[in-house]
Amino acid sequence: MRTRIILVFVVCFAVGFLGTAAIAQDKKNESVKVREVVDKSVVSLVEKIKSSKDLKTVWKEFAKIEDDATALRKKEKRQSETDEMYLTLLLSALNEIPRDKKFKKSDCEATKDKIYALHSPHADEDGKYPEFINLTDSVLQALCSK
Amino acid sequence: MFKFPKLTVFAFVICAIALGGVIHRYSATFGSANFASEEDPIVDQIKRLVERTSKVNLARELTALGAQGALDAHSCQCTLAGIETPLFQFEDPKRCSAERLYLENDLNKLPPIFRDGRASSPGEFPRVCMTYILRKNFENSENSKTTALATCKTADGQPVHGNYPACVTEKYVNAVYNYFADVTDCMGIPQRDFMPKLSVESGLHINSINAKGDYDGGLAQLTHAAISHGNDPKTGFPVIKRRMLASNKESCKRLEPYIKNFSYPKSGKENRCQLISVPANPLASMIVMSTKIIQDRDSIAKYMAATETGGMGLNKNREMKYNIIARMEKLGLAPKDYDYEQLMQMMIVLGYNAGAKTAVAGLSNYLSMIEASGRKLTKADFDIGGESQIYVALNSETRTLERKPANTDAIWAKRLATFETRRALLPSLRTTYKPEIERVSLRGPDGKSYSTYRVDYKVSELSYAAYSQLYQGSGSGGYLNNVYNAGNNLNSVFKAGTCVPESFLSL
Repeated sequence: MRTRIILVFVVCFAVGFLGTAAIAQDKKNESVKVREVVDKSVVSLVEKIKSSKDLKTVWKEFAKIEDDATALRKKEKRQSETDEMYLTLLLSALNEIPRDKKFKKSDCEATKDKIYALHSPHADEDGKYPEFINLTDSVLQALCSK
Repeated sequence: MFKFPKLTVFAFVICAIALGGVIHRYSATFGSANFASEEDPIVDQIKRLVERTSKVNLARELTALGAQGALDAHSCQCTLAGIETPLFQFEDPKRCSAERLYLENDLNKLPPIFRDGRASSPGEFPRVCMTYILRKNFENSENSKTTALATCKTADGQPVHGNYPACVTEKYVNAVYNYFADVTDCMGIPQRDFMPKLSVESGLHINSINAKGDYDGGLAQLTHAAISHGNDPKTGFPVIKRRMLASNKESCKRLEPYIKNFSYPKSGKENRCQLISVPANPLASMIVMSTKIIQDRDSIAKYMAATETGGMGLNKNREMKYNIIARMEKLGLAPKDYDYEQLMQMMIVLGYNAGAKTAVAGLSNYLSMIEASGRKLTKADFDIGGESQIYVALNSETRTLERKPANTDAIWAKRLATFETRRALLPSLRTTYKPEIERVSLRGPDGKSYSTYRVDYKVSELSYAAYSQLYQGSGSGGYLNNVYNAGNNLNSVFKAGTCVPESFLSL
């Protein structure tokens, strides 16, 4: 009888221990994906811009994404250095896109050149630009095509 | 009766002529000490002059000989390598092959004030610095065609890759030197700080061009975005043009008639010859380059300014402010302890390749990493010439030196050898933190395994110099190191401070 009780206890303890560890690991994994969260929000912004009839609603969403990203970075633990640099440069490049009344379609080419000149004037050896530039460019192109 | 030996005398004369010819022929060949002097006999003549002439009349003798390059080196008393060094001498157009003389006719169309030597120049450095850089860039490959140099069939068309290095004549050096000195002096740009960068970018060659991609073309090696942004009405050439025309500096006055009528180059690669062809250049590329330097300097100063704590994102006005100087001080490196101008120079050099904002953002990220680690920041963290060289070309994710699919066996062997040279140098380099280096085996894209190196390091211990090699985010990872090494090279051929400031990129 006593052996059974001990056995049940050990099994319960093992299940509880492993389960808690798995949940903790999941949480840990969740907390290290700031880049994914920010990327998804920017991609969804591009879709919203494309489907919106009026850019007024878009500017608020745009600002919210930037503020949320900044807040999330401050809240979460430090990411890998590659991701930290990516996020800093993505926010920096997005920040160069003029908003509200300052946004003029006639300035789109000049804005694009400014973003590239300040962040990545050269493509790499294979002629590719960094991912943060491509994502920023997709936001700008969506706005400019409205 | 004496019979005149006509035949004997005739034979004697013929033999004497033949012998004279042979002696003359071989004295020209074997008399030369080495290959360089066989190529350029003036070097031998300079050597003989140096050996037998006192310093008092050496200048006169060199002038009489027409050895202007040696005269430059003698006048400045600034070289460590000896005035007879072949790379200090101008090339004689008569000794350059026809394929290398393609600039000569167009250089003659430049105004004499920029084409000829001047009694006094606004240059902060002697002309021989530029002669050396121009010649060093294609040393021993002067007669080989290269894709790094372009041909322009029309003055504003698209360049074609492939040309011979142009003959480095006195006229060519004068044009580059005079325009560079006047444009930078007029715009208030420190000249010697940009010699290493230009040495790395184009080697000062007017028709230099990137072999791939964006057609980074001309002496300044600028791309479409940088050229276009340079004409920004609020920060670019229109603003700088007004400043140049309003200036009373002699250099600005000399440039005035050309600046008034200057047509800013188009940025498309189909027009890149506007930044390559002569006589529009070197002026056009100098103006665009100097404009970019001023734009970058202003942007960097603005981004480094302090308004927000942490520097991780946007402030309340949604402007990116990185708060660099105050954060450095908080980490233990106060402004009084380092040279702010050299920190700015580091950012400007990096910004030219990776973008001005990327340069500051990279430094900000580094400071964030140090803040998170809890350790102090020191001046040694900004030591570009130290152990940071071991991190050049490493994959920062795997921390290994990886073979790229495009690497042939020869290129891969060269990359490995370069790494091994740097590794061997590691004990002798100024080092604050030594990473662990081990031999590892990796599998390449073709499925075959290959032997390479892994560098194991603790991120929080990395110097800024090392960090920027690994995590720059855009541009070439090793750019800062390359420019630093080019500066070191110039400071070893010339007395330190002659062509490049002695404290170049050193805080």
